[in-house]
Amino acid sequence: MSRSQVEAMSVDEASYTAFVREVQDRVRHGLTAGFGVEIGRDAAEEALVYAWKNWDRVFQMKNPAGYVFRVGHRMAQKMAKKERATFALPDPQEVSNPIEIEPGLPAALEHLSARQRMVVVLVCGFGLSQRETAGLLGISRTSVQQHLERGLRHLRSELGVVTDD
Amino acid sequence: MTDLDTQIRTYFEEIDPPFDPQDLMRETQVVELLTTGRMTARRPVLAFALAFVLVLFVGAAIVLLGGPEAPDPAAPAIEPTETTFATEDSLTEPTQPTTGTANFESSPPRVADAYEEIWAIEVGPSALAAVEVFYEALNSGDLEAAKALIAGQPVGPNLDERLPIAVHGLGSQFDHDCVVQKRTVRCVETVTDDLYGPAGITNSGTVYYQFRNEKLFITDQSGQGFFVCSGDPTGDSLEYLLDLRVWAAQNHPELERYWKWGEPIDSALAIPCTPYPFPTPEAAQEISKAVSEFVAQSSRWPTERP
Repeated sequence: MSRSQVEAMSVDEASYTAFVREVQDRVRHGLTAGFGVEIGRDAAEEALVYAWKNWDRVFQMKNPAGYVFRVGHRMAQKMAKKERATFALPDPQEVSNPIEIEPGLPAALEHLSARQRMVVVLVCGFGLSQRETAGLLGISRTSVQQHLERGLRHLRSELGVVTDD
Repeated sequence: MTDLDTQIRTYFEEIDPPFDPQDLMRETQVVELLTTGRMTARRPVLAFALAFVLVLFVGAAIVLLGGPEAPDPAAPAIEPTETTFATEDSLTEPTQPTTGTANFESSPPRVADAYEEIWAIEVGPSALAAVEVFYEALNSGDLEAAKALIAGQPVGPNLDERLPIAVHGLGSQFDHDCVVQKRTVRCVETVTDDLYGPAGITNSGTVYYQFRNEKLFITDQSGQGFFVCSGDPTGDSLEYLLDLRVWAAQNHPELERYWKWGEPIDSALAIPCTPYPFPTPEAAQEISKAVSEFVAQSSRWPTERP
């Protein structure tokens, strides 16, 4: 985004843009991990749009990212219920740019609970602290730790990953 | 091959690319909130229908509040530039056309604040925190701490008696997904334990909590609730349980007294999804131990997950 484009924005637009850039990864990836690509992305997009429509209020919240995530989570739950969707992740070889990862990773992730997947993806994949993850998901840090430990244990076991600990 | 963390990151960055904030701000249509939970930004027809309903309400409000000029039944004409529609009242009273003006530009329809209601925290964050503490206590086997938080007699038959069996005997883990509603904390819980868990069968239910005077009350629960196998064991899961039952009869005949289902051992009904019949935590522990033994020697598990 050029300087002139930024200058042309209103204060609200600028602050919202900064907010989206800062939080959208965790909101998107968290919901995608929990509900799959289609529903997760739809819900994340709609929650972020909802935040823009209510920006005067969301802007002043103590934990706007957590609020937006929970709005998205609620939307995703409704979508999943309505569509009776089963969770599935795409084959890494069938995405637009095939990537080299352990072929069994998506299936192993699918076998985790939704919470475990969210926590594993956010903490391990995207480096959120357990405290940040707890704030986002609206659960305690202890719960995050438990979901993380169980999720990683299952994941490593299924992928045959050997660890030192 | 890179480490697991990097692989997860690479994979999710590929399947879940970022949005452009500018695009998000351009999404300006109304939201279909309570019916489907989906926005209608990409559904202009439905958006128009919702806008129409909005106009209907505005018209109704004008009529009910005795707007500046109530329509005269005898008045013949309707302004050609105005939109005509019948209010709900007109279905029960002599038909009177009501007029309203639809203006889609000057003030975009206010997004319903349904989520504000949903997320209204009358029960407060402390209720959610208490529920989390309750589940943490259950999952860590601290039954006393869990019981200390629960007030009165929880809903459900013999819940108090079954808690020790679940927590101590079966190592039950309560995975839970809780949201704060207006008056309750609603938790969808999925219980995995050492008995049905290895067969891939989990027990799900929805429990509603209230928090008053530092105590949690279970106000309602749906689904099968605690300690009842709510899954329909079919296919591999059922075969697995039947294998277990046959194996246990051969290797642990002393446990037969606990398997009180009264059906032929090779019958699908021999392993019903009913409340656990174990009389004590010790009995549950015995069964659970045998299950672990069975899992360890089974060639089907866990390589072939149901």
